[in-house]
Amino acid sequence: MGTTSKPEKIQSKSVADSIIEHLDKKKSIILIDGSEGDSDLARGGYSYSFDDKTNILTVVVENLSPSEKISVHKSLVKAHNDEHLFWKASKSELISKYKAYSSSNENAQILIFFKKILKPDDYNALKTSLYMESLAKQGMSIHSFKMGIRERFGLRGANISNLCSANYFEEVFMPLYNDTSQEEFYKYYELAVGEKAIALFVNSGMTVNKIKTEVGLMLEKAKKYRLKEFKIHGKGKINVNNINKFVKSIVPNKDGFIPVKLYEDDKLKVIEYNVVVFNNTESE
Amino acid sequence: MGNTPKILFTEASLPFILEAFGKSIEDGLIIENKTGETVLSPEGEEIEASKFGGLKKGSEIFIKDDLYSIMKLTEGGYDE
Repeated sequence: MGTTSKPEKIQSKSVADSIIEHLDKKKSIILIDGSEGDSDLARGGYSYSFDDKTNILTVVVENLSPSEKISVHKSLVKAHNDEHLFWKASKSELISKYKAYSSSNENAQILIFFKKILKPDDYNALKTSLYMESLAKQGMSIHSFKMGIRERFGLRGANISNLCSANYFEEVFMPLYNDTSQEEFYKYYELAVGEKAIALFVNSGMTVNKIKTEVGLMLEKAKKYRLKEFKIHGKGKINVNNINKFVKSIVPNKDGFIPVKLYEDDKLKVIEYNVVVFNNTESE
Repeated sequence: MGNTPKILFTEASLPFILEAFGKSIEDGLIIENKTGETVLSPEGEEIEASKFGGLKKGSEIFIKDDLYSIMKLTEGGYDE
C-alpha cells in the first residue's frame, strides 16, 4: 500500500465522515478485505489508514465494527448519490489507459472508416479489439480481454479480434472496400468474418492433429466457395512449432494443397502461411 | 463527478459494497436481496461477481469489467 501515516483506531463516525471528507477533497478511497493489501494494517486491527503521498484512504472492511459498517454503508450510499463512481481496483488502470489511447487517436482512421460500413456489433468488436491490441503492444496480458470479447460478441466477435490482430481490417478489408463493389466487399467480408473461410488462426489449444482437422475444414470451405487459397496464422512459440510440424507432415500432391510460407518472425514468434488449394472446381 | 473512479474496491471487499446497496452474491451472480432477482448490466446481461466492474449513478448502473464496458464507461456511454 505504500508509505502510510500512522494508522489510528477511530470511531465509526470518523471512518464514515473521513470517506465523505476525502471524496469532497477529490481524494481516492480504496476498500480492502483483511486478507488483501496491507496485512499489517489488517492484523493491527485498524479500520483505516491514510497515505499522504498518494492521497489514498484505505478502509479495511474486515476490521469495521457492526456500527462502523452501518455508518460506512451510509457514507457509500451518499457517495453514490453524489455521483461518485465505484470501480474495481484491479481494473482502474484500464480507464486511464483508455483515456490516453483515445486522446492519441491511434486507430481513429480505421474506426472512422469502418463505423459507416459495419453492423454495430461487428464495429464494437473491432473497436474493442483495436484497443486490446494497443494494450498488448504495451506488454499487457490480453487473455482475459479476448475472453471478454468472445463472451460479449460471440465466435464472430472472437474471429473479428483475430482478423484485427493480423491487420486484415486495414490491409485487406479497407482496400477491398475502396477497390470493389459493395456487393463484392460484403461477400468477401462475410466469408472472412462469418464463415471463417479466409483465415485459420491457430491457438494454444490446438495440437498438430487438431490443426490438420481444422485445415481439412478450411479445405471443404474453399471448395464450397471456390476459393483458391486461405491463410494460416500463428502467434507464440507453441503455435508456431505446431504449424511447422503440421506443414512438414503434409504431402502436397496427395493432400491437394500446398502451404507457402509468407512470413515468419523468430523473435516475435509469428508465422503466416498461404495455403494454395488444388482441384478446386466443385460448385456449391 | 465524471468517470474517474474515486472509490476503488478489491474483489474480496465486493460483498461489503454490494451490501450497502441491498445486493449480494448468489451462485456467483449479483442479485437483488429484496426480490432475489439477478442484477442486469445496461446491456441486459446477468453479472458474475468476478466480472463486476463497478457501480455508477443513474439510479444504479451495474457495469461489467470487460474492455467494451470500460471503453463505453470512459466515453460516457453509461451517462444518463
